[in-house]
Amino acid sequence: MPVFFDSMLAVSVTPGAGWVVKDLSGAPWNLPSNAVGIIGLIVNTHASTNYLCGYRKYGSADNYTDYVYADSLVPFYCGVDVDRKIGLNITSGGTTVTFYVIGYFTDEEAVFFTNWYSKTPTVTGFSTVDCSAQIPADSVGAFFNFCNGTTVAYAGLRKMGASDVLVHYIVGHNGAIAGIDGDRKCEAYSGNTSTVKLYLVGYLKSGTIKLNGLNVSIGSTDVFVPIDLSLDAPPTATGVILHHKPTTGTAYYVAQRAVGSSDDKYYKNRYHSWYCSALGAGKTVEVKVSHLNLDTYVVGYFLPTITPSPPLLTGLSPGVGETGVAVDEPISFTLSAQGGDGVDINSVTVQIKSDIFQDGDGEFSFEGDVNSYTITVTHPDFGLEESVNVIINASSLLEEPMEELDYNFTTAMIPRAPLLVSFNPRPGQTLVDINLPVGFGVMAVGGDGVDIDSVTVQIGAETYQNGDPEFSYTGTSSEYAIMVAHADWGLEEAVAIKINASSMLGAPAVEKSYGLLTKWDPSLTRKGRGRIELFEL
Amino acid sequence: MSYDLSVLTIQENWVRQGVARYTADLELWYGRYMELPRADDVQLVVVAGDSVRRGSDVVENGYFKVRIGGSGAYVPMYADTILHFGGMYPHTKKLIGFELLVPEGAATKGYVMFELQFIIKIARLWGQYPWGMGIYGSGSGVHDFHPNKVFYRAYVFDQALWSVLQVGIAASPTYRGEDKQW
Repeated sequence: MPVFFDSMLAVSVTPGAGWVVKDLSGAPWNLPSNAVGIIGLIVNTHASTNYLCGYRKYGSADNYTDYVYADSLVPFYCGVDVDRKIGLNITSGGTTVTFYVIGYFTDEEAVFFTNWYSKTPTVTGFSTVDCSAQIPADSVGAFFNFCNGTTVAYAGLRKMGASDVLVHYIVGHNGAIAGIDGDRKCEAYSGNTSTVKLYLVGYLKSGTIKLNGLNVSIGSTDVFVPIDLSLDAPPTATGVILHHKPTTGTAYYVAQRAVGSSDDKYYKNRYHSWYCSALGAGKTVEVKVSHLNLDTYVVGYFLPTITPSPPLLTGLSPGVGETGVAVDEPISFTLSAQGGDGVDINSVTVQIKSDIFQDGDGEFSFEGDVNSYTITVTHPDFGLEESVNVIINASSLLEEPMEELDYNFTTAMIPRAPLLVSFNPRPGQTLVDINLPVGFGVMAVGGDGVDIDSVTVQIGAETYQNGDPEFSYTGTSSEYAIMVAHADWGLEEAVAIKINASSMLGAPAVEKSYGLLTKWDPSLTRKGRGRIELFEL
Repeated sequence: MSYDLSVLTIQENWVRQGVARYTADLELWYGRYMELPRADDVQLVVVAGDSVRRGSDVVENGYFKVRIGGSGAYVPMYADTILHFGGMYPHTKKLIGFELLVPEGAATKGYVMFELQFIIKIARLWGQYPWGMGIYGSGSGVHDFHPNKVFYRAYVFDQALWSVLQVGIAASPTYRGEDKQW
């Protein structure tokens, strides 16, 4: 990742002295031995005069100069040689022009060519810029010098496959950064193939460049406004590349700095600028514009060299295979960043049955930041005893997808009335001993257990239930065997019994109501074969 | 009422063809004041002889009907009809009612009698599994007690005989009019 200075450091260059070699290894820049290039800024404070300027890696044969317009600033990207030397050039009289160093790249994250490669578009409109001969695979972006002399012409840069049409005038020098695809290609727009020049300066090895810019335009003028990128920037991001572009043909003032920096170079933006700053605490960067017609887009972030890592899903609720889930219970889980890569909240999709929910849907809410999001998805109530399928997908900010989680859980059971069974004495039985306890079974149906406290047994005028000394039971909520003692019945007494019970979920069993007849006095017993007799009423 | 005497014969006089004759409901008891096993089923079949007088015409045509429980439909009893009373504990009763409706012009007339046979079925335990579940036979494993028999006897008038009878009735000093015959 590039190193940003707390405040940008000026490099004095004598105007009219041709290519002035500056050694940036000493104070105040102190570029280390592994520095390969700088993030620079050219400022021309003159109110009305444009000056030709140039920059090149020391040892380069490039001899290109172009204008830095009056009252304007130009971010640029330029290599330094192994001794951290750079060649800078200000045309004669350009005392109002100053080169600044905002920061530098080391050999871990960037390469700058000694001599630039011309990639000037030969057709108007968007055309492919093929850098595959210069940039190795696995690189993420390309540094350009995008120039156009003193006539305005339309120009633009975008990552291959992007839909952005961020095209506007350019004049003079413009340092640019564009994302490249796996084939090391990007697209450039030229409004005038004879004046618009595009030079490949170097390439970025680590970091992330968005496919399309993220519009983060501020809403105030002439004051620094912090732009909070915590929801977009990978947690390890240390710097951000912003692209400023007006929506009209006017050159507006722009300034950009890291939060906490006192830099305040507030000059005109002609008309594109790809400007890099360190990200401050909370992933913020400060931007000031003179007019709301100047838009700001996030191009990408500088990152340490990290391996894209999928988000880690934890805290899943309802869990895999869980049962008895409330029909209105939301789906919630936590996605945590791994290996320094952040979670891309926009990549999170939660498919509940056939409906897919994602950020922006009313049912989808989240808390946290790219380090860790806790996501909650509400949904229309499920049915009871429904097996609900949920599919969760998410990717890291570096577009590493996690393994799809496809699982099911089951909602709460449908209340099912228990069954009353195995009555002893049996309904209608006769010759029942006068002290025979009333026994029966209660069986749960469909998993909805029996609520033992709901069982009531009415024998004659008395009602017995759990807790009464006469009431005893064995078994579990899936099946109880219940026995109720009682005061002795009379001889040949017709006893009426009513039994009620409910399931745990409150479904009542069909009331069992029956009678029995106790035995008679033994003296009444008749002898003989079993027989059927008819009697007149 | 009295349980001193059980009904052995049901006698219905003055039964007229085309007019249903209902017997007042009777109590059917199984094992009254007897300590017996539970009857798994009590069945009723109507057994007729091979002559009209012995009820062959009645059972062939289902003129005789029975109902259980004091309400509901009367079930026509054919020769092969088995009416199930269901299981009964000893010393329990069910109501039983009869209907005889011989249509006009039927062969059945004059004295006709047939037998009501009540059969007690008790399943006999023929085997036992180690965990104690009783297995009950439904065929040869069922005890049939000797059927209890009750005779049903009726005197049925056809239209011709009734006309003769009506003349006599109308001439009777106790005759109270056409609509007061029964």
